[in-house]
Amino acid sequence: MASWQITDNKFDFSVTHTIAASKELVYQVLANMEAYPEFINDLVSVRREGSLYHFVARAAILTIPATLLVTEIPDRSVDFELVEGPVEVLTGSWLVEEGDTPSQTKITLNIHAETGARGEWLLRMTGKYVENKTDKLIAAFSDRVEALERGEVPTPVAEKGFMAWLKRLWARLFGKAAEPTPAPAVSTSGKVAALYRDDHSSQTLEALAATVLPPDDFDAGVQGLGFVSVVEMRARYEAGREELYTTALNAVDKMAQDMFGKSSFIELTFLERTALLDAARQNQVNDNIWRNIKPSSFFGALWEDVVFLYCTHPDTWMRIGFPGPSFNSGGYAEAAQPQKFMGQKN
Amino acid sequence: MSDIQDVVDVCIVGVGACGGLMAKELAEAGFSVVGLDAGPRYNPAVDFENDETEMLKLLWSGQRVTSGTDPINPWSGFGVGGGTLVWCGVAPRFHTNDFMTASVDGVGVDWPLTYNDLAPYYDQVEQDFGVSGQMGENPFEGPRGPFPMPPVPFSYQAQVLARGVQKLGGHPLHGPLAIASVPYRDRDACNNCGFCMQGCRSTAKSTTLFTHVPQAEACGARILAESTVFNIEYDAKRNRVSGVSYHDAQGQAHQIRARMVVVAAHAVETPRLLLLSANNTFPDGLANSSGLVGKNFMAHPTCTVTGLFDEPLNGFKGPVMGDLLAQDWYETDGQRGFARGYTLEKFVPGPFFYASNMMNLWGADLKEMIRYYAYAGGWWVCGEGLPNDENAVTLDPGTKDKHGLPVAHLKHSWADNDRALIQHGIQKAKETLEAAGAWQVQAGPVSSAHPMGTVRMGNDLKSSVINPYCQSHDIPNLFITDTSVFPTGGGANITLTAMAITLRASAYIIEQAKAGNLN
Repeated sequence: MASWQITDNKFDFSVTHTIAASKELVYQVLANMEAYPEFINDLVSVRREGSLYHFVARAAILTIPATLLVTEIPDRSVDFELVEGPVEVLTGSWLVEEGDTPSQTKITLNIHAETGARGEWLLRMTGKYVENKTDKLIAAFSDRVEALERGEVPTPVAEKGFMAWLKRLWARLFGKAAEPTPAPAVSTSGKVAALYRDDHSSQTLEALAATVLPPDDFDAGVQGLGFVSVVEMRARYEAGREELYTTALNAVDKMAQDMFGKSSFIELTFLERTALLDAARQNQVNDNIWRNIKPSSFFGALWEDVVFLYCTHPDTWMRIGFPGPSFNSGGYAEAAQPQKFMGQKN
Repeated sequence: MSDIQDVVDVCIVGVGACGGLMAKELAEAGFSVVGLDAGPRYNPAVDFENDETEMLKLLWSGQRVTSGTDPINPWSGFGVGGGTLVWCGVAPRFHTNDFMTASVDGVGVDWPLTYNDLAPYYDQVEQDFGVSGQMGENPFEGPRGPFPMPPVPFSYQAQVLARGVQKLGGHPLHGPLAIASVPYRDRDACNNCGFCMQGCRSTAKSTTLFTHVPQAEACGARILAESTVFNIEYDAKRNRVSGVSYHDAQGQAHQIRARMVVVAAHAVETPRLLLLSANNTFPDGLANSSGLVGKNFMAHPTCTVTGLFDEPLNGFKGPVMGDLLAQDWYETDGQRGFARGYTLEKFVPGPFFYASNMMNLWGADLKEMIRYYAYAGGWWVCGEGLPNDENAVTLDPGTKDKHGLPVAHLKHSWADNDRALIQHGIQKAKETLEAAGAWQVQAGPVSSAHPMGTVRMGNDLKSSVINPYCQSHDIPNLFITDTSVFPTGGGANITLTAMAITLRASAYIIEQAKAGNLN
């Protein structure tokens, strides 16, 4: 059973699942994070450094590194906290409990995430991601546990010796880690420094987006969908993207001064913004303003990010009549029949 | 990490449509086979999603450098299964004249084989891989055997577009689709979910990952995922290749010794690997005494043309592309002022790809096209791009991949014939949409698809790299089987032809190995 909600820019998720295997084995698989890439395809690598785990994950076109601080309470829970990664706050835990019978184990995943102001898109993506991936993750864990039980992969070596026994005993008695976790070498503050969330940058980005896809009687385009967090996410994880946007944000203000004598891009009228972007699109600009950046490349990146956000957003889908994923609901038996509009008309 | 210590019979580089088929054929014939693929091995039921952006990870994303008047970097797949992970399953045959454009039209070059040479292999691939279609419907293609499955029925969108084709005097064709129209050999029939390009979640779309790969493995083949071959080993004393070197997922280098190497890494990475494998005997690239490795880089000039209709067509239902084709403008017509032609293929993908094909639009024009997405019907124009020895894949002198090896540099310009051809195709697409009742029609920018031509096949040692059986002219135990061997590109999708060539090559390899000629 999964449940999730987004309120006040915060996301909370919880799911419980029962696996037909012993608690010890299930715990060993969950706690052995370095082996995750062997059975989770979206993970490129996991490297352990004390209680810090450096993950590299694939998400669509991005390869995203993230560092988690992990606290293990043997046979009971694996708690994790994002130290460095794509969102401001991400904490969670795997909880392992005995199931209804001794051969069953109940696992619960709890996740809490926050993305801060103007992070709407990122929070939605985090929510979608967690929701989509959880089923797969649990399926992967179940398969892995079954493979271990069948002896197809070597069983992870459980910690042995006096200290391990003491840790387990301590955990059983007090329900927490036997030893305090060493403080991480990385600062836990400012996991993601916001690039463009100051008022001027974010307003300029929103104004640029609204020029590519203008608000009209149909809808508001990408306004309110979190365009800034899309730009930031790609700027952070794709080579060259930050320089492109940072240069462009300055350049469009300078062009506004040169072309229209106004102080910044956001001061321009819609027609002036369009004329400015059209000049950039065709590289008809003063090269000094744009330095090493080709304005047409910036226009392409902007166009892509706007279309990406707008056309992958469920609110847009509802308006344009695209029902989204369809495989799990059986596809479309009536594809060859005359069609009806499947969205909500304004 | 590889624990392969033995000398295997054959190493196959790239486990896509061609490499997977080769692995299956040779493993079935008793060869010990190792297939290496740079990408991960996905589990379709678990890893694939009905999500346009999430599944972009199935595309090759390694860095490449482009140049030329019309720089291009056509899509290819990434992962065990290669391009068949992301293809739309459109599986037409090349036509008789496609193999002899020089003789018939005075352009391009003739292939060293004919349609009739390939026809039995086309038949076998269609049966084996699973292709739906209507025999006898296409008046333009050569003699053929029956399809193993009836055609996928026209979606409603296809029915509307078909009326436009008919009004122009053309022939609406059920596209040969490698998509199961009925349950076929333990595979499910298509449920019209519309997410073919995102890695089919059922087993309906023919995908090497769950057809030839498990069949090969059942015969003992070993498939190594996330294993990127960076060198083909060469024994100068014997003039034989002797194995491959590759990087595993952790970047560790390994070597596998093999009696034969088959390269099937697609038309960019295949020449790149041969060029990377230069040695004292072949200083300009392995098996490159002709100097043609990487030359004649070709692609199809393409364009998406979309019309908006009064009634909803819901183009997201059914096969995303090609349940309807039109090939009436495929052959050369002296009146048109250019040689060769194109195929029109029905195409409306999900909203993100739909809009992404309209990068020439913005502002109110773009918004209108997206707003009426459910009312859209469209064509993908797939034209023939002629070979041009100025276009080439080379090693980029400046840019290195994560292992420190030079990335591929793709130099490409369209020739006048290519430009005139695609503009004619765009115009014809517009006319058919208007004839079908569209009230607004927009063409996207001219784009490209299907890399080909960089390791040309031929009979002459000076003007080709491999023989008609995909065997290197220079090194007898080295084979190349993918679209890089195409001397010309035809005017339609290429996978089925590449697979038929591969099947023919595999029969030759088995015969030659039995005779002891490949040792």
